[in-house]
Amino acid sequence: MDCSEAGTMLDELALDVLPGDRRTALLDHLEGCRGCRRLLEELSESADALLLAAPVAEPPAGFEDRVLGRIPAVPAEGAARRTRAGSTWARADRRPARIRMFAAAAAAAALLAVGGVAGARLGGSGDDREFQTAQLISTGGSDIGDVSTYAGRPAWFFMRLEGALPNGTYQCVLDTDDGTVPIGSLWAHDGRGAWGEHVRVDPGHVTVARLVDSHGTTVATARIH
Amino acid sequence: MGSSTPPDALSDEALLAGLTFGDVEAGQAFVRRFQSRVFGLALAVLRDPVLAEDVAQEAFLRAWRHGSSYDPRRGTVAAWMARITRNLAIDALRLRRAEVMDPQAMAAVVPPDDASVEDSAVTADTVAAVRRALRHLPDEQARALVLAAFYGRTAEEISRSEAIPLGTAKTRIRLGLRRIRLLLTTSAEEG
Repeated sequence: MDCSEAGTMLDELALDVLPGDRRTALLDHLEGCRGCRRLLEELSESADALLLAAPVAEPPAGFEDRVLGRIPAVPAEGAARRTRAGSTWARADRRPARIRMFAAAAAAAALLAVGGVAGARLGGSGDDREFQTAQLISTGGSDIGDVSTYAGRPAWFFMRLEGALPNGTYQCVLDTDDGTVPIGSLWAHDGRGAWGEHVRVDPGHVTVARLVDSHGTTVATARIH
Repeated sequence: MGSSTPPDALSDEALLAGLTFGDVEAGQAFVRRFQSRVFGLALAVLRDPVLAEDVAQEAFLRAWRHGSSYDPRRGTVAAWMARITRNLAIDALRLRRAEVMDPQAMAAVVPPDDASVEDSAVTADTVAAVRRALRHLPDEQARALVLAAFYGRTAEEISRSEAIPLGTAKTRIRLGLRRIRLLLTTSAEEG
């Protein structure tokens, strides 16, 4: 398949209406064609924009409670299986003894991880745990994302990158009262990336969250306390 | 970071992470943030409030279950939720074998400019521009694009229902989507 033929099918792929046989052939072409991949990205953004242009409407009263009543206050099973299969970091045996991280998580795609409290549903009442957010600042002083923490049991961290960093994988590192703890990896592409993880470290003991490049150089810092 | 951040002030991605972690407050904030958009899209496609609520509830369950597969490099959380909702609504339509080729289909998903937009100012501008672009497309292109984008109709299905050659159906879809792309890329360059 050449680019001309691919171009007649990209729109249908972006709209998710391309039948399977042609989809397979097109995906083979896309594997080796950067130009068509770029066009597909733009068309997919256009398809997303169409869906987001649909009217909003308030759902019937009680919708929120009904939804939350169906969602268990535990991590999703599928995420747990995927995590175990793809886990590449933050295993207990790699960690400093004084800072124990929760061992359930870290997908290879390094986005979201799992862990949690059994026996409850999200529809239950919340508690007094705290969210906090800090800006992620590059060494050049630019705001390039943020770090969110949740000081619950277990606590979790979430780092979001929305700024100019070279493509590549960065280590997420916490500086705590007890030392430095690498807790995961964030894969940046075109200035975007995100990573999250349950941790057993108390966010109250974390002073700084950092992104570190493959040379060990800190490229961005978020001051937690 | 000394002071606490209300859950409603967290990023979409952080709330999705919290939902997937099974976190109560993040889950509540996530549902509150997206419920009108998710329900609105389901209602636009299905035009049945009861069925739309079923679909919207299922969309949030999917978000909890598959949150770990969300990739921010492929689009926003809002777009990811919209795709989940759209696919579930299409499944529901197919189960009912519902016919969507009536003239109301277009009006349901492309509201007038003054229809409410719950979003940031920038996104609201984009939404209004996309709606305008859809209304200014030639009718046959807009119809083919809406049938594909919102109702999951393939070019073959559109060809049969509209009684037009397959190549014509594919061209209408392509020209329609390219017009939207041109609008968005032009807006981005101007912005």
